[in-house]
Amino acid sequence: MANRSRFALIPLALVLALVAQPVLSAGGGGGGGAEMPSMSAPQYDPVAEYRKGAEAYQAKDYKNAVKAFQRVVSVVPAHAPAQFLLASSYIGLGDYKKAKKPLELAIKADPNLLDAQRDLGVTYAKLGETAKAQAQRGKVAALKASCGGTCAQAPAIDAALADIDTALAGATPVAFGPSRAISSLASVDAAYVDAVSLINEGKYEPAIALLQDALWDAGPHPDLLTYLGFANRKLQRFDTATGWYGAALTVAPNHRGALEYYGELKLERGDRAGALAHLARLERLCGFGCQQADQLRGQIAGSRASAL
Amino acid sequence: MLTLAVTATANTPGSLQALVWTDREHAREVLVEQPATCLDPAMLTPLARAGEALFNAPATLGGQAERAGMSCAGCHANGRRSPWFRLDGVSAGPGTADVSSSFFSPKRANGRFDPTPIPDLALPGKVSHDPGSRDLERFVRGLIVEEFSGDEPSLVTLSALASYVRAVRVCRDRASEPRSLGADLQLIDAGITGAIELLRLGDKTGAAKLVKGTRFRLGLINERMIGRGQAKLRRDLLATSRKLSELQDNPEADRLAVWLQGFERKLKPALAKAERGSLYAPAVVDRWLSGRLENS
Repeated sequence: MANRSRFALIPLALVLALVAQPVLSAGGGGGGGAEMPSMSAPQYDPVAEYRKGAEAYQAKDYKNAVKAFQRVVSVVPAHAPAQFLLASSYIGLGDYKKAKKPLELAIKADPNLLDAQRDLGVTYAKLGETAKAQAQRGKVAALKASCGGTCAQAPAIDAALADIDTALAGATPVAFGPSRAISSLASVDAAYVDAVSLINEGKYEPAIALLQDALWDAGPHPDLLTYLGFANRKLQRFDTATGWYGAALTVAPNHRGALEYYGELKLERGDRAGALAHLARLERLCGFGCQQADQLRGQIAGSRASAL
Repeated sequence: MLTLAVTATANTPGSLQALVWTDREHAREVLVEQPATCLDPAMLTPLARAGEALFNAPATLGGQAERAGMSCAGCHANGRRSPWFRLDGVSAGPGTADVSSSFFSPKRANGRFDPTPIPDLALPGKVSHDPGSRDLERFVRGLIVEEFSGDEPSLVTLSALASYVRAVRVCRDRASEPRSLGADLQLIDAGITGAIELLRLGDKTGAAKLVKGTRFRLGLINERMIGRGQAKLRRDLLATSRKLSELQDNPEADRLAVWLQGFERKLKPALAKAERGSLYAPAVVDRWLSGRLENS
């Protein structure tokens, strides 16, 4: 609870500004003076590539969609929507063999992706991997059982089972890819604000669900990745949090929020040297001052005092 | 199956801290002008000047707002009302905000989306400005601590902020005025002289916030020095900010005065000379917004 009130808020207006231009320049908020990214920054702007990929996918230009989504997942392999859309693009090209791996990775990153569960079952069936297809069908059927067959998702689960059955019977189901819409940036804003509000109220699980959802609309935006790290860290899921912070810093190596929070996580896990390295980096970045550096400095000083 | 409806929001060629909380459709207005404010000379005490600087310092609000570089002036430009303030999910439109959103703080959250127009502080409102009642001080404290989850402000800090707000007046001869370099330089001066004043009154925490606020202001000036020939100026601004950081946690009046003298002697003239080629100049802003000017 003590840390809750210190949750870093990066204004969505800034998020939008960064979405609308290369994320590589993201500083993650603060009073000016953000420096250019280090030379270790990725070659691609994953947020822009995600948008390009989504546009190409919408236009059924699967070849260019594959190109764009490959670039996204090369930087952020844990981005479930990008993995799924990459797989969907391959399916659009009729290449089930290449769709298999990103589908598996999408489900690993977000086991709740029913559409991906369905398409993986279909893909196994189309590749002649009947046992795997049956096992995948079993997983989808288990989803229905777990909700008693009456949940809101039940009709979609039934449809998914029917599609896998169709594929197992040797036919090709009509539907593939995500059934959800990618909404406009305005609705991303609302979801983002809602997620931050939930985090401020200590409701981390619903916040994670909202942030995961926002990844569909915004792509692998470093702010979203950072907050996914933050919420998971608050739930003591340190490995998951580390993954999200790492992803945020891969996308935007100078992201102040990610540097601070990852530094705090390291401090909590006893890696004082790691936290100090993050602080040193923040000090370099924040030539005109920033609260992220001040907070991490305070945490490090506090941990030293409590250790005495 | 996937429908794509990504809409391009009105945009600028680059991101500026000065534009973070604003409707991008009105970036030009935000960069080149602000509501005109005429401070009541009879109320313009050194404490009120310190209050003006605190009003413009994100550290005053602390917590989440500070992280995002948001000060009281984010909603109340020049002590008045920011007509182009906008944060989707918090605003229903430009110039509105839902102050009971958990987004800022759960303490005053009401679970409803109910944005209201941001009030103009120069006009009579629901809170009495009568110094005798101290209602304004109590109201400001509530804003900082409950609405923004900031640290408890000192009584001196509250008095300073309230003194400034009480001095804010509508200008009879104009509705807006240029958002010039001079306005930022005046806030630098108010920040340092205000910190010295707060130290004199025993408010070291408030003084530290003003030092932070001054560094933040230097950053705002820095981001507007966009020209290719202004690289040295940007380096000098960064260097002087780093110098000031030495006084951030432990501000000392004498050293602050020395810093301010140095700034006024060395940097101020150079900045004034550079203003015409910077994002303080409307013509440069226009070129920048049209994408014909790249950040160097």
